[in-house]
Amino acid sequence: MGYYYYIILGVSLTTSFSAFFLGAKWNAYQGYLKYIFVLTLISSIADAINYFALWYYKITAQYFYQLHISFFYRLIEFLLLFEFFKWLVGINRRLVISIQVVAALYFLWCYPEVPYTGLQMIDSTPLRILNCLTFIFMSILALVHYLRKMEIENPIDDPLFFTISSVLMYFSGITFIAAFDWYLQEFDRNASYVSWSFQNLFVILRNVLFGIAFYKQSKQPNGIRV
Amino acid sequence: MELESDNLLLLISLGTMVTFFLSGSIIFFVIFYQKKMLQKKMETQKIETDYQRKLLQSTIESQEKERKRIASELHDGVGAMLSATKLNLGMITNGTIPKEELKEVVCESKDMIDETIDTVRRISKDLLPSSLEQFGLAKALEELTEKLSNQNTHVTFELIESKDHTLDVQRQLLTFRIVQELINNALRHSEASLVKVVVKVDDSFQIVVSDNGEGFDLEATRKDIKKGVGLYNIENRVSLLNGEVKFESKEGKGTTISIIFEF
Repeated sequence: MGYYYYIILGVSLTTSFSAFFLGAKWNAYQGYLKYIFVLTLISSIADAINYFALWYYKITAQYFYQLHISFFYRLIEFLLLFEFFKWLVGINRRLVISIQVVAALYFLWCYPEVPYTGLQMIDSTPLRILNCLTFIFMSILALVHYLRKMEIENPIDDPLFFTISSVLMYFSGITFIAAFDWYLQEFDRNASYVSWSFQNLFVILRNVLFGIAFYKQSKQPNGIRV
Repeated sequence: MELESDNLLLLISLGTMVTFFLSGSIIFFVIFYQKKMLQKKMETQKIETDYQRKLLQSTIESQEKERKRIASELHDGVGAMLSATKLNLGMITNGTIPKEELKEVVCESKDMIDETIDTVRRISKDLLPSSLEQFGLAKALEELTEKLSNQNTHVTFELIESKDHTLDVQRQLLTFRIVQELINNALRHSEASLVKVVVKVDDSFQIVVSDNGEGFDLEATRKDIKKGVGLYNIENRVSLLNGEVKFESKEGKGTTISIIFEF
């Protein structure tokens, strides 16, 4: 395993914690940022556990995202981001329930396989693709909603814009990795390090943008904009 | 096997780059579009603010003009007559007028008082025509057109009433003032020989004032605040009726002004 993988994962972990502390420092617990703040906190913990597993147990990279922690992280990430977009866009109630039911069923269908198949055998590819596509769609929907409202003169000054952009860029970036990584591991385990390094680069980008959103929020005079 | 792995890695890299590029493009589009739209919105707001400012200015100017006119009529007409009457009465009291001229001076004073009463009535009528209160808008407009008609310019009035509707007094007065100003403008500036006033009452209230005069350059008049005061004044009054006004004019081809509002 290349040392660059450690470095990228280390940077990812650092940015994750930095974004979390930026949020914690300026008390951004209210409004929509509370979801992102909790997500950053959980992401930091999940990354730390992964990093520890990599370093202490010498666990190979391809198993990272087959671990319980990753599986649960993905579920929490889905729930938090879904709540965030639901709050932001005000999605149709029926659509919300439908997506929640599908997500719950999918998770319930996937997870009980673990005791029988072993952790490394769970192919969560469809779940991950569905997850990515859902949030790409929701981010675009949120941007359209954002454009319709036309409240902010310059989007670059708005924490909400950074948050939505961050989610869109992150999920757009990892969609192909989510789709093909499982098959890539079948051919060449070492090649999957490269693809997961890509994934971590997008995590870094996401965390940096979340951090900027927290920072921008702290600079807003009247706190949260609803 | 390694080749397939390399191909797959290449596919992942390319696919990732494409989707990432697409998402970046969407974000840049949002930034660009938002800035552009806000710029447009600000420009529209500026135009609206300018328009409101011009309207306010025209209202103030129009009020000042009206005050000056009333002051001038009171000073030159009523004031002068009353001063002369006072002088006559003073001379009668002092006994400076010979007895044989006394009757003549008293008659002269009486005539001057009658003239003063007429002037006061005229001013009062100009401020609020009595026919408007007594007989309604149509009659008041008919009287107005008759009064304003002169040897050089013939002013006509036509009422086309297909439905029976009545306007409240406030709106009647506002409509009367608009028509009054439109006819005055035509008489003062257009050199027209004919001014037509047509009032059409159906589901909505429509007024068309047209003349066969010189016409004017609409855009140029709007840009010149002094010349455009009349237009803004009309627009201002029509907006109080929640109506719409349309100016049509070409130099040498007369002017048609159409106003429409709902009951």
